[in-house]
Amino acid sequence: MAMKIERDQQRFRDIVRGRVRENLRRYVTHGEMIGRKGRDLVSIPVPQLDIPRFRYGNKGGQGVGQGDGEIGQPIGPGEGDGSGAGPAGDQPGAHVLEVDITLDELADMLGDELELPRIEPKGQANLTQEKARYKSIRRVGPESLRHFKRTYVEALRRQISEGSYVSERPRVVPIKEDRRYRSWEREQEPQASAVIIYMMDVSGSMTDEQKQIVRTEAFWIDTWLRKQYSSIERRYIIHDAAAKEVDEETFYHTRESGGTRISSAYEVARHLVEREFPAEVWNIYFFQFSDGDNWGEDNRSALTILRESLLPLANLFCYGQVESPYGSGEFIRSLEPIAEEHDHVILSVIEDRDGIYDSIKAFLGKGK
Amino acid sequence: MNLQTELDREWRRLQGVGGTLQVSLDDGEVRGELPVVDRVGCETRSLLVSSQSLAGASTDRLARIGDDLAARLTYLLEPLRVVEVDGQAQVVQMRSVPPSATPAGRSYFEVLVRAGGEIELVRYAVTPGQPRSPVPALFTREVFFRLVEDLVEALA
Repeated sequence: MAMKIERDQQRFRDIVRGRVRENLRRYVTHGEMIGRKGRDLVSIPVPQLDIPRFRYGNKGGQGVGQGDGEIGQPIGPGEGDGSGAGPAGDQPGAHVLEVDITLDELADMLGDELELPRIEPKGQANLTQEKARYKSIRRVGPESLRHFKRTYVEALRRQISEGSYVSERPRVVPIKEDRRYRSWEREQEPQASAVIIYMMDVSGSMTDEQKQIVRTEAFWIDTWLRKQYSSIERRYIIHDAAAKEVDEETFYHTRESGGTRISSAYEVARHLVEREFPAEVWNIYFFQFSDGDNWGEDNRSALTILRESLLPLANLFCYGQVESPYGSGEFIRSLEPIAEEHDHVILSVIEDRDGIYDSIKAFLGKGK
Repeated sequence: MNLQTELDREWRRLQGVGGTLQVSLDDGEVRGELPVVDRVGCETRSLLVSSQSLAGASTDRLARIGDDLAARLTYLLEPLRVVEVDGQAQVVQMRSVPPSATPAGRSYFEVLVRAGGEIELVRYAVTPGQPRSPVPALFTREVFFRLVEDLVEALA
């Protein structure tokens, strides 16, 4: 049976989760509020949360269960008029508590909130992964893995067979030979692996605000897909008139002054997939973000590469057109006929931060 | 012939009726779509100055012209800046930085300098969630004349 403090702790966790759920749209929209803590944890500021605390009586010795009075008599308020010295404050109270939750929990909340369907990985039996599972018992092992129940059962069995067990005075004393320890076995299990390829337009017309929107959206996409796959690879491609693969840091902090040629990013993505992520083994996700101002005649070459080389390999191809101070470009219109033909092509216009929520829902809502 | 005189002649022709303003230069021309022209000012849908002097110009040269224009065109109430330089298409794109914002949306100038020898100015309006659309820019007569002269000089 759980001890009382554990029940209270669990109740507190449930309250925190509830509060995070209530405010999830705000956290989705303002990704900067979420701080990473290592690999699996994030810290989230939860406003107006009452932290459990001890409450003391008004005066020592007159609390509940003390003093005069009969059993069952209602407890009245303490003495005194309650007025204190000094004027009231004029500033709002600051009750912001940072709580740590796991990325898994966050993904669950996101899934519940946006009603996201679980992803069915496409046939990926080719990759296997070796996993250690504690599913056997041995006679030797470290004390930290000692199986107490098995050890006592062995001791009981031995004492009964020796005749030293007295049922009127049940006392079981394990000896060294009775000890049993948990042990693991290695198993091969099929592994569903996915690669997320992010592509972003970093040409002069993309501002820092737009890149922040992309960053926030990418965080939630990562969080959800990580929950769905046992292993996830992420790759980043930036482009202006030319494209290149970069690391995550460079992806979000690069600004170029060149023109915009989306075909260059598609070309790099195609090479990357061909080289490192065969589609028979990997679930491939493309997420592309741009303000949609593609130059000149590039739309035609971009769409050709997309149709012929990327879409046949992709689980999902998502294009987010992030509106800039100069409005939204025309590229999304060129993609519309393709999106009508292929149900794994999803388009979304992200006008501002408030658009992130709906965009994520559109991208991940198909369960692909 | 003097550019100022030619512009003045075209302005008088279009006053009250609007239409296409066209002035020949030694190695090019000025062409403006002005749907409304009156004594004080005009609505300008687009303004194009072309010159053969830029045929085959390098991207660096175009970028320098862009910088030169950014320094000259300080009287449009919105500073212009080179935003993108496309070496492949040989085009420099300039825009108002930042664009003007009103409760109805945003608007800005876009100037394209092309290697074939063209400078084109268009004003765009943006309503959130809608594609951008070209809108007429309003200039006084004096500002319009000065603008044309600056564009022509930048190409020289």
